[in-house]
Amino acid sequence: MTRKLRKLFQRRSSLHEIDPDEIFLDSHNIPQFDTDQFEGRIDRPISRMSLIMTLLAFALILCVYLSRVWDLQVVKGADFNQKSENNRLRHSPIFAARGVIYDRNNVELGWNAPGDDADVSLRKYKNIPGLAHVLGYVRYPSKDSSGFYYREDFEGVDGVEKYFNDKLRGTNGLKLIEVDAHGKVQSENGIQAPKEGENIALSIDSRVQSELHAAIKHIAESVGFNGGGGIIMDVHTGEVIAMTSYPEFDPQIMSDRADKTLITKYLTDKNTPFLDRVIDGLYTPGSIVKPYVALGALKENIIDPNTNILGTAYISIKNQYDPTQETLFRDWKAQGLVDMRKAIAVSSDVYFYEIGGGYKDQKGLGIAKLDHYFQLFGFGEQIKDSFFTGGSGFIPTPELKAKQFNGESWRLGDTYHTAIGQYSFQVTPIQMVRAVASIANNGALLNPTILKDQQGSVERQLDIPASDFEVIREGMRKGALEGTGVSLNVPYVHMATKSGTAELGVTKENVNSWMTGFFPYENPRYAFAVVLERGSRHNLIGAGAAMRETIDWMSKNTPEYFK
Amino acid sequence: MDFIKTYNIQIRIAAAILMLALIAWAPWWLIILAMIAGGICFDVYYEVLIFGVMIDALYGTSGQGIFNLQIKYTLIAIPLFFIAIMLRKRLRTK
Repeated sequence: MTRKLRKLFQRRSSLHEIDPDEIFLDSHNIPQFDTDQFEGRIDRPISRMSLIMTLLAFALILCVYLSRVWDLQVVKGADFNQKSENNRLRHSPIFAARGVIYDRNNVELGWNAPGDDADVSLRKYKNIPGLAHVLGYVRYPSKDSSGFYYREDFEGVDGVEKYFNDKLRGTNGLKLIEVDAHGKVQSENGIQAPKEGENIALSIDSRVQSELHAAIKHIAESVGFNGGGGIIMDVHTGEVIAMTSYPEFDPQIMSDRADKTLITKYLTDKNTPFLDRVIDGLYTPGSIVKPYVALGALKENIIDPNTNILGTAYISIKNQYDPTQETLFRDWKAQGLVDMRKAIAVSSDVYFYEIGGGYKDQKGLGIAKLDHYFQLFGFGEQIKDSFFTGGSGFIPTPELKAKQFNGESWRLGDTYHTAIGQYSFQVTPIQMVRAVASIANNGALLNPTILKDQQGSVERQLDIPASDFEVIREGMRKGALEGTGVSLNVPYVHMATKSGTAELGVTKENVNSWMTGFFPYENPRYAFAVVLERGSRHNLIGAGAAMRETIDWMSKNTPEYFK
Repeated sequence: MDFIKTYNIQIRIAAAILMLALIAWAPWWLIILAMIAGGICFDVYYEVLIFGVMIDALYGTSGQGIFNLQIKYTLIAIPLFFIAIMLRKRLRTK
């Protein structure tokens, strides 16, 4: 029995596979096998389970990707197909050439030039000073880093570029661009041709404008004014021959936007180079309003133009709050006996105090009538729907004073100050030149125009006799001959002028210097207004000198304006 | 971590399959997070390089995304691979 059992065990053990570990038993004693490198492992045939697991893993990966393919091709296939078509074909604008801007002599002031970008032309401007506020500047079409244009038009930002933008820009065309998946252009097809912008011819004479700017700049810098503006206008058509503002910006710099330092300087300049002083600058007028007070007085029969008033150094009225005291209203100079013509010529304050507010036996217009006549000449009123629409200005009245100063009552002294263009009176140079032109043309208040050969509309024809205008014109001519406008008494043309020195602030240390007028005196064709802003009151040189430099230059270089 | 060490090969294979599924279905930010997680969990996570190349091969187009590059996932994967190795070494020594 024992033998049988041993034989059985011996047979079974012979069937048992001998594991190599049973032979190399000591290999188990080697420490720190790196099992990742299969150390200490016995090379065995790959098990069936491993093969199945590998197969499963690949099947799983296949399932993941097949499901993704199903999702992309079947579920969202149509949607993606449409999107890819849209990606393949891009719409891109073909930029219309912007219209060219000419001056009245067909000199190009703003035109197109090829740039680095083949699609978009650069806007170029004539490189002479004084044109910035008239021309303005543009913003170019812009695209993102992928090449898509998010601004598809040139955009006029200021000046005529802005006001006539619709006319100048034309209509962009359209092209289809086929691109591959990497965004590379494969082909281009134009499907709509661009329509070029219209050219425009301005009424501006760039030569005169540039010279007027140079003169204003020269006087402002040499004498110490903060800035200035000037305008010359045809008194019959309303065409503006020159209109400039100092300081100004460079339209090329603003369009190209390459010189960030200079743009920052413009933006932070306390003298505000972006302010168009002619259209938007509000200035205390001072004595330049006296001709309009005189016209009101003539129309209302307040005074005969030949009646003399004694122009003393001052007039005095009883103080409203303390009748024992007198309040003095001074003239800038004792003028002696002055009639209306002389009063305009020498700019007598006393004369206009008296016909404006009344004094002793002399009847005055009173503030209501003053306000009426100032409004008739376009002061305190914005020029409507025009390139020149800007500041409206301000005429002081009792109602506005009460509103501004907590119900404070209007006093006679306020009327006196209003009659000489002081107090809170404010006008723009464009309003001023329009009013001067109406004196020159017998009462047609014209709306100015910036386009060549265009007739400006008549805002209103003033119901004032031509003989009254004649008196004022004679007074203004006298001003150029022997009065405050004598700096413009020149041999080559007969000028008629009215100057103004408007005091600013409480201390009155600073003034605005004005010169307005028209020429030729005998047959007026052009009116002008020049203002120099905020300079010392002790200056003897001002707007008159700037206008003198300009007309001297014109007499040599553009004599046609004096014929 | 012991669990990961014990079943390292099996877990890496499972993670690779999961990663492939993410590449197929998940948004880009989840894939990036998974790549970073792999770099932290596994020693010498060379799979990340393969995933980077694979994502670029599947989805890479020019004119889009970071720096307009067509191989941006590969470029992300390469530094990720080395940074993960360095970080793990430092963590181990401290």
